Amino acid sequence: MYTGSLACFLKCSKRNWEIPVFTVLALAPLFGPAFAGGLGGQITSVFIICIAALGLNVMVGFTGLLHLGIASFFGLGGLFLAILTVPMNPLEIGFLPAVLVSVGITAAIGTLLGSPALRLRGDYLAIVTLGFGEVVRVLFLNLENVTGGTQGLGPVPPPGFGVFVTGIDLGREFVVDSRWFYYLSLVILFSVVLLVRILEKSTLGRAWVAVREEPLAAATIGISVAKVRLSAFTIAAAIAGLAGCLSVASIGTTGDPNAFGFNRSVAILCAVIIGGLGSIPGTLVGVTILFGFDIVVIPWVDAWMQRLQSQVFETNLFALGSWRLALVGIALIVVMRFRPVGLVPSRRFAAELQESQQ
Amino acid sequence: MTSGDVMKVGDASVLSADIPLLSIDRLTVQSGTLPVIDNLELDVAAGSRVAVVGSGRGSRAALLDAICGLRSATSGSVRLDGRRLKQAFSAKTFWGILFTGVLVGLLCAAAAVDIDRLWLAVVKRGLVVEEPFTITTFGKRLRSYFRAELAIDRLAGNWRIVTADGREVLAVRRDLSEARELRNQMQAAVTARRIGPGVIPDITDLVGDANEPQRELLLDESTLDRLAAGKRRIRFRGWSAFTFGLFLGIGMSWTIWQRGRRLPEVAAGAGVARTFRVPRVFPAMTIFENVLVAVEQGVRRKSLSWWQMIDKSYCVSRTEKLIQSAGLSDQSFTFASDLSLYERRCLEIARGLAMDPRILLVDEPADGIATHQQDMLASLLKEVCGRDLTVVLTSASEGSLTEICDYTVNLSSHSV
Repeated sequence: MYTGSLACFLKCSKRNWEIPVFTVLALAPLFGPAFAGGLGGQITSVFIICIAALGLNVMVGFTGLLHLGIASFFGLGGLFLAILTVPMNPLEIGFLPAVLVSVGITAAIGTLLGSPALRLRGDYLAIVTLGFGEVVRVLFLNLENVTGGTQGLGPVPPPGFGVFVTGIDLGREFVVDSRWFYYLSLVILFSVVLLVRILEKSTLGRAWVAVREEPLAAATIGISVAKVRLSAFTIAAAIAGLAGCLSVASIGTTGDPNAFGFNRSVAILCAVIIGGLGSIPGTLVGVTILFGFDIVVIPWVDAWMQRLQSQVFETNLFALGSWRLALVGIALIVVMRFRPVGLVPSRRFAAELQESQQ
Repeated sequence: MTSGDVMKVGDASVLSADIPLLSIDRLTVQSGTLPVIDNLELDVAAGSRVAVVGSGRGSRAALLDAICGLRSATSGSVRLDGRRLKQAFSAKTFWGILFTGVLVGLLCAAAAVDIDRLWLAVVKRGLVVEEPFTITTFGKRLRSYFRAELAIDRLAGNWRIVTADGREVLAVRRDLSEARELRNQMQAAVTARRIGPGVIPDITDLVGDANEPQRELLLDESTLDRLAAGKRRIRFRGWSAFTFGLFLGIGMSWTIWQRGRRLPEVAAGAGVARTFRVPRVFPAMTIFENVLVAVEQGVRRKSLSWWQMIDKSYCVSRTEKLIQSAGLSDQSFTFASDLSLYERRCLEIARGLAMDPRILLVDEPADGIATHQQDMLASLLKEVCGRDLTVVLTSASEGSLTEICDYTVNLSSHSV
């Protein structure tokens, strides 16, 4: 009677955007020699933030819980990877097992933090995650023997360190040519996109949305609200930890722990909101705009303007880099004013916003 | 209001076995200090349809809330099939609470024994003395940290004898074997001091250049006392923090569990479904998804562990059947936010039925919809309610919806 309703339900999104977008991204380095150098590294770091933002989107978008400490999980994932791999420490295990272990530990920490915290309502949960983010940052600064303090822990060997494939040292290739990291992070980003998409369409994903919209009604149909929220929190922590691992491996050190503080968390949250809460392409667009602007465009524009100004005025009057936070703020205000559902809204959020305006 | 009246609804001995499906025993629910339900006793037999009328709207809603766990009763109990709608204390709960306690205890102990110095003593020390990192050496170094034993450390080509946490340097030697020997002597002196007072160590160091050696006492009385006390101090700190954390963790998780015992999902798992006066549908989901999410939860609760896959085609066909019986089949892919009040109510009933409940609580179905819609809703409820499903609905007034019921319970007069 309802012919094809299963099929219709399974492919909820009519437009399959992943294949073309990822094909273009995969082919791009073949045409641009700049990808082997600085540009490739910059785009890689945008990909890595994309992964973390997808994790945050699971929590904020699908489950509707405000999370202000995502960067701390990012930092924790990276720290555990560094602890497990740096030659200073005795463990020195390979890249892949180290990533698996550190993602597992990050997820466990997320569960541990979440199980009491998720019983709190709305704003209180946000405060807990905010506090946790600061605690992690301060711990990073103070446990100097473990984390390396402000210096960070390093040098982290690149993936494939000591692995030779047909006479090519993979570890060395990763350091010399940034296209290796570009492809590694692209593949991981693609897998995370698929994972999040599958989760969104799964039983768990529907339970997340149900809990987000009507926690009371969700409880009366037998959804265990606390457990469903906890699962979202854990998955968010794990994905952010994975992104942290990649980031640390690509930079080669955990760096200054202050980079994992509140500012980074809020920037990722802003990217998710600008792109559209609960929307996977929206998250990627939001991060590409905010962080792509910050990491890729501004240095390029500044270099160009510096050349121009030094030719015309013989002095450097204006640098866009010092205005970037103001520009981001203005962009946020404009988007929220004219497109409150985000740039690429999900169908669900559009429907929910309509409901709340009625 | 007379209290303590017993109301038997439906002839329990005819319709089911000897125990009624739902039995409410001296239930009192207070809103602030005002009792909205006072000492209510009510038995409902399986398969009957009951209308709850009378008293205020708040009282009727409070009754349904108390049954399905949205509101906790001040006193009295609600039983379904003779069982309290409360999570039982199982072995899983016990181990869970104990595990949390131990975990929090370990975290507290880690903070108390100074994890940073522990790391230095256990991980970094192995690197300076070039010991391989195995379970044995790891255990050895961990033990020596907690026993506050002296250790050897290297700095700029010199071997230093340091306290376990690396905070204090006691002597410096060029040669490793020499350093090892001195460390063993010093350790023996510290251990002797720990066992009994009065042992004066004979450990000296050569200070000055080779021509004019000058002997200096390495371990004076006060240093020795301090080192001997180190073991006790670190153990005391570790154990007391662990005990504190253990009780904290057990107390916290016990409280959390206790609070979660009477949640709506527990009642739902036992077979209580309810709808709301202002329908609480999931607006950003289609009708299909609204019902599907409940079907899946029902299937999962009944038969599956968390890692087992759900039979998707069964869920989909069951969802379609439910939507059809609720009369919403021609719009199953519209968002619930686009529905009218009547449609929302139908959807909520379909969603409630999705998890195959024993009893369906319908809150004010007649509220705010037209008379012909009330008739349609009444026929829908009559259709779904059968041998295995009991319906309890509340209503402000008599109408077609109360007419389909076998019994009417009046809350204000405590009568059937």
